[in-house]
Amino acid sequence: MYKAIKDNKIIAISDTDSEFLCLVKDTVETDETHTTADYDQYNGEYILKEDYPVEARNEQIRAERQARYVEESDPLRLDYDEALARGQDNAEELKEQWLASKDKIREELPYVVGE
Amino acid sequence: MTRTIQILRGTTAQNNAFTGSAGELTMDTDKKTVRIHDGSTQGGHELVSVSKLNSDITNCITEIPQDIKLELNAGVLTLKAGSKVCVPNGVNTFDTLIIENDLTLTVGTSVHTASFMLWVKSDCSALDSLGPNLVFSGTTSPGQASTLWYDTTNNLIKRFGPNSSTTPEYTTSFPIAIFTTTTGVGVSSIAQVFNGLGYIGSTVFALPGLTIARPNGRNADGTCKNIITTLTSVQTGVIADTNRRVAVFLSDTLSSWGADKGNVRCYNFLPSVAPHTFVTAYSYYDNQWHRCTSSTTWSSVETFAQIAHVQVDSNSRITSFVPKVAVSVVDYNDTEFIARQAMPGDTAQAITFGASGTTYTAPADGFFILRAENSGLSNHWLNVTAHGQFIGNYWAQVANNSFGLPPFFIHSGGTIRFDYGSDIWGGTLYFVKCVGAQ
Repeated sequence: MYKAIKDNKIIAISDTDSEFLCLVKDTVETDETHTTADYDQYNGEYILKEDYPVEARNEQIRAERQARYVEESDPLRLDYDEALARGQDNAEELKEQWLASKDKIREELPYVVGE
Repeated sequence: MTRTIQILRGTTAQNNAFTGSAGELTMDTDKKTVRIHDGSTQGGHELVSVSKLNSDITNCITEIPQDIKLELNAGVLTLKAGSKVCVPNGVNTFDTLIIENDLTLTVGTSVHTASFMLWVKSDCSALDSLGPNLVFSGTTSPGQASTLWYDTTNNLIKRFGPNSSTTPEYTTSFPIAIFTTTTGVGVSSIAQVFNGLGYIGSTVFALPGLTIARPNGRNADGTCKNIITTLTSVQTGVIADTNRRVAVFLSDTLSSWGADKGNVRCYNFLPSVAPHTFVTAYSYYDNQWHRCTSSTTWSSVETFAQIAHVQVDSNSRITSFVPKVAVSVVDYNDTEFIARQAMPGDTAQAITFGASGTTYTAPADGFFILRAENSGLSNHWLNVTAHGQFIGNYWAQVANNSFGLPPFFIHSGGTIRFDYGSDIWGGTLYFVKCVGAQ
């Protein structure tokens, strides 16, 4: 991969582009150890994911969890609420589906434990 | 018995108000020009008057054929299909070859930082290159392996491979460009493209289609009187000077004149006596080039135009080549043509989208186009700053979508910066040149 450097910060990364046309930069460096998948953007620069501050990473995870709750879990919750209100037989089943959805999201997006 | 045919005539105002039939001609009696009509355009289309071109512009190139279409992208040089190259092919014979398929050239990233001269094999099968210090021209072979030699006696350009200094591997076109390489990058830039004119070794070449305005005095009203010449055949000229700057001139043929020590000058009024021997001087007052050789008496008037200046080394080999920029005249009635120049071109150059706060410089007059990608439900925002001024802010609250932004007009060299929140995780950025951009 290639890294565009400005003021000692990695401002752009690419697995294929070694020129970074148009970017105002100081140098271009080659990184033969990593790929762009190993990097994340933080505070206007790219850093290795393993160097990402725990607190900031967990805040990101929290936001991603929240988005998925709304997209995937909340509709199931509404179904459960309606079944409960109507006294339907499948209310318990719907509850299990709703809670399982939330557990799945938590499992797929675990918080990072600080060192 | 002969007959005189007169076309419809009128003033500029009358012509502007007239819509002629397709193929009809009318004369503008005010401007002494002709308009051609297409059956629908009011006022028709004015042909640019040669006299208008001649009036103030002189001693210059006015048109350069753009036959070499060379691109550099991610370290890969590509000569685009449709390009035309000139191949010396025997005494007084030059072939124009049309490239049928894109030809590419790459070099490894371990290459030294250096310049290279680029050409096409005469069978159009590939591009090749060498450092300019390994490129020669003249009547005598350089006698070295791994060189390129323009054999001016037989009018062939011969490429010697690593194993022979006497038997060429193949013949080639005239060089088409100079490119540079950078260690760690490979091909890093195109330094020069030899459209219309260029050099090889000690030889300058000018190609058909090159058009020049040659000073030839002044009219009674003071406007420049020029000879407009468009080359119809290849012209070559050998530089014989050593270790100096040389001015290159073109009339119907190429010539050169050493330019150091004030040997090439410009005057408002030509002095009665030259400052020293061997001077070529342009006089603005009479729009003429004058020469003196072995004495300080002006001995001849020349009708050439200066088209370039070069630097040559101790072997007369050209080490620097600076052509004059072509001067173009656009008639003020060419409004459609003028407007078209600011429109987006056909090619969008993909640009790696950087971190928030990254600044980008426009390589030409054109547009930046951005499509941002976001995730998450929280508000996401993007600010745009161009030419140092905040020009726009975009905000949305939609999860997992991408949003396109209007194109950002920007001039060549102008800068644009995108600042955005953490919920925008990336984007696709393009630069589109204007039609008329260089």
